[in-house]
Amino acid sequence: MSLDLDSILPAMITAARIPLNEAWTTVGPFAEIQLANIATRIESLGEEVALGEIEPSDALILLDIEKQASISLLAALEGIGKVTAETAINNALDAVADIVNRAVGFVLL
Amino acid sequence: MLPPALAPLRAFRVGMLLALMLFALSGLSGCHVRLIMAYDPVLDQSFTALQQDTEQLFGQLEANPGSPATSFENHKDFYIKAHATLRTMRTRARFEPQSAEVLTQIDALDRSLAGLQQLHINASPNGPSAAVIHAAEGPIESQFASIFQLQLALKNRMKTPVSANATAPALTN
Repeated sequence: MSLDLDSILPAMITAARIPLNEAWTTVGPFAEIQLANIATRIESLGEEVALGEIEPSDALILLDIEKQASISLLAALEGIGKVTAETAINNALDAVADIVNRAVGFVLL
Repeated sequence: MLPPALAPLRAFRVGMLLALMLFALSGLSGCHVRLIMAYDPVLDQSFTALQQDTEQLFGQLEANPGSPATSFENHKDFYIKAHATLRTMRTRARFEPQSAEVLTQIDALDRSLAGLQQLHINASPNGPSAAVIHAAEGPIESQFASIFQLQLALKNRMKTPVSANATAPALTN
């Protein structure tokens, strides 16, 4: 019994694509909404300082809080991207585990 | 493409690549790749509890904005407890491998709450105005949303099913 690598590769690619497609559907709209919210808040902050509703010193702190929200968002996207990549690789390995293990005669995957 | 004379070099390079891949796989539990920390329910629950406390604070500030009742002195305990909670969470996450993203979120939240504390102090002897509360509340709530998005992804990892179409073809003899 031998492994046909040319046949296994398409199955791995197919398995890996599933979480990647799902991640785009999940993360894309979330990122767009969050970034739009942050842009709107920065704009309103400038208007409130101009109207005297917020002190300039407080505006600096509020802007820093906005920055921290952006940092947290980017960290979430990066982390979700890693989970997605991890799932894609593991799906690919799982998809061919039985066939590879049988071919090599021991539990490799 | 290398010339035929360099075929042994090519074989060596392919062999090295395979050896590196096997070495990488050998260190992984069950031959599964792990790129980010495992889901930690204690951290998730701590984030949830902290969000509840923070929402409660905003609710109290919004009830009487700019009044002595919502002064920093009357809410100092929230900041002491929140900072201690985040430091404890940071210590826990720091000892988890591949926890950089979660640590970044903890640090960002700690800095935001420190900013909120400074806004609260600046408004003394009264509490912060409605405009300041509103401007701080939105991004802090966004931070919690980002945190829970990542926590949910960690919690749900490996639940993505492998499609029936992904089944490998039969072995050739």
